[in-house]
Amino acid sequence: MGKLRFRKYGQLYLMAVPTIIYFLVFSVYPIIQGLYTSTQKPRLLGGGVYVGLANYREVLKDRTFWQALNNTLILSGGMIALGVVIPFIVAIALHELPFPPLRKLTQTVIYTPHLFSWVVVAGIWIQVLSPDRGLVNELVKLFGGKPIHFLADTRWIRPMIILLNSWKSTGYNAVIYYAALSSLDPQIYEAATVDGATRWQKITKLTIPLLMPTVGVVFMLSAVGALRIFDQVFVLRNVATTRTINVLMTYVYDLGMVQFRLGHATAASFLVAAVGILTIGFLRRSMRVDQTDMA
Amino acid sequence: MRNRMILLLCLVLATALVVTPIASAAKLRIVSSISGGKDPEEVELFAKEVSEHIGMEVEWIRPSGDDWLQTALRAGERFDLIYLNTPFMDVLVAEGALMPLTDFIKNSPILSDPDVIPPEEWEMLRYPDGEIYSVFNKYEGGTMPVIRADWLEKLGLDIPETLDDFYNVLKAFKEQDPDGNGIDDTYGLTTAGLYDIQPFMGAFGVKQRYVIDEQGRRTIPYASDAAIPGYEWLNKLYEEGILDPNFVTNSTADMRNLFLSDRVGMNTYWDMWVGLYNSTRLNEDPNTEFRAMGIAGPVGPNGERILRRGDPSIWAIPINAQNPEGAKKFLEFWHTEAGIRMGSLGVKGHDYIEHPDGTLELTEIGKLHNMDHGVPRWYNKNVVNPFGSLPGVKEAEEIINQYATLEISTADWPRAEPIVNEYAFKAITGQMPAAEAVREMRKLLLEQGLIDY
Repeated sequence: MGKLRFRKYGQLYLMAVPTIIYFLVFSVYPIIQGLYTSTQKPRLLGGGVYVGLANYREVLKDRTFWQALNNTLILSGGMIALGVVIPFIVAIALHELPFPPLRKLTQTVIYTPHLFSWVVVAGIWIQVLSPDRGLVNELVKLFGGKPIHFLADTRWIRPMIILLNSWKSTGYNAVIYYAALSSLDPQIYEAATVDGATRWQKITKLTIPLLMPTVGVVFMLSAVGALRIFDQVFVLRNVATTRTINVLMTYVYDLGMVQFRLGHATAASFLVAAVGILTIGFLRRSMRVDQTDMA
Repeated sequence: MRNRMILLLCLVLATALVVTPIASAAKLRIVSSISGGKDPEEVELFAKEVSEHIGMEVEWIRPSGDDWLQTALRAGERFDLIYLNTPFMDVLVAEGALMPLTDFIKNSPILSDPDVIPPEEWEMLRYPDGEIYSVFNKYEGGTMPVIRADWLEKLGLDIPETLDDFYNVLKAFKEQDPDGNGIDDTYGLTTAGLYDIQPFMGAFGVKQRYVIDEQGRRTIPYASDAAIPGYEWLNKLYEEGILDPNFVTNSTADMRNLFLSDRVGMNTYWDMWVGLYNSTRLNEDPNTEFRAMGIAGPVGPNGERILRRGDPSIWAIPINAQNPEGAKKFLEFWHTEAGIRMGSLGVKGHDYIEHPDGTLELTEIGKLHNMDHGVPRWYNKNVVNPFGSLPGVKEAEEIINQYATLEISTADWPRAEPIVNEYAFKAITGQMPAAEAVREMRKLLLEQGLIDY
């Protein structure tokens, strides 16, 4: 039976071999090597001492880890909420725009920030938000206010990172919604028009319910991305705000590259992966994304 | 015939086995993110000239930062000589990854010469086991208040001595239009983050980073009650708009640019930069009135001043180096006149030219590189800068030698620093009263076992 099956599907198995080798070399081996390193006190010139689960215990006892987890959850929560809702509104607004050239122009303008690296985004907004001649603070002063150092004040920095993330990612997520909107059957809308539905009723009773599966997908994508945030925090953190916005990924970086504690950094990254897998698993289960996709 | 062929083949293989290690041993692999050529083309020229001086092939690797070196070492790359800062060296020494150089230094006619490197300086590099694992790259200066001397003269002000003097001068820089453009666009003081408020905190007798008492107990003076009036003084500058509000997010380049572009009258930076500021503006306009001057920080109630001496930047030989003898040869060369000339002026024929009468002339590239290829200043008293020192550096250096001391870092400092910085910043910007900020700072440091009292 087995031989027969191999004869029948042998060629297909053979074609899968390069992919399997690729995953073994570039995914499975690094994970095993990482697990091994997380149980070591590695030396910079190679080799190390076996320490069992001590690195994990020390990371779990480290307050900075819990603070980074707390920051990650707060920033992720904000980013996911805005990353799902704002593009949704933008996509519907775009869809309702009557002039196609204006629609395309708006789409391009909104999408452009997604193409910038975080270094460029940080450069732009540090200038715009600067208390010294920055556009926003010039407006604040114009209305009699006192300049605010948005990127150096612990009360402002988290909302700023969430807003900047939203500014950068809105175009991308809006494109996903817009694609889903464009694929909706126009006959449903025609039927609704015949039944006397207003534009608002069409949006609330048809468009929004029909887009819910896509909302689920965008939610999942945003959640996966939000737990791995690094670039924006790395380029926007400064001496005043480091502890307020340090996230799990910057915590791992600091352990490994700044404090030279690679064993701890690897252990921490496995804990981060565990947090990510648990969170995504929980979200998938509670949202039933797979089922809605299939529906 | 067949036997002859086999014999010949064996001979070729044996020769290859013997010759290959000799050939590779003659090559010297050097990594430095600071010293050497300024761009890939110059790095190659630099390696070529070093090769000619020390008589062996040199591969000079110039990565963008320490991350690269750490990754390369972990990946099994082998280097003969690596350029390090002291925190990185501490880690490597703790792991037994560096070759002890104590005997080499003692027996080296060049490095043991007191005129080349003062004997007391080596103590900075000695570890508790009595060994020295590195050799200086250059003479390190320190950081200090650098002031616009031309603005002082223009406004009829004296060099500030006390905290009140500093406040009055900085206020005048803010309010009296020292650049004369008729616009209220100047600040008294700027820094890059909390790097470096030491001169002002020094007036309250407070030293940055750790202090360890005779019983070995650690504390951070910036988290002590003595620091409170220091934060309050800086907060006064911030509230009155005398301190550049961007000081937290400034990079050192931002800070330098503000000073060079007439936006600010004082910054706290390296003594060497007094000269670089002056030469930059002089190169732009030989008739400029711009004149930077390094000054001592405000004097404290007991007459004390505290400035920061820079941590040594050093060369070390990893224990897995393939050509340690070549590395030692380079280390001696680096402190000779020829080595110092390379580390300062750069590559002959590229950064400078030597005329038949022996006089030197900087090329346009050499002028751009500001006589700094990793060694803008050196210990060797026998070597004189052929172009003289940059304007203002000598006086600044004297102040640093008088008042600057090394800071003490421990392995815990990277974890303590964000806590100190956050609350110091809150106190300076008035987000929190200074006394409360210090209390919170100290509480957190104690809770996390980062200080003992």
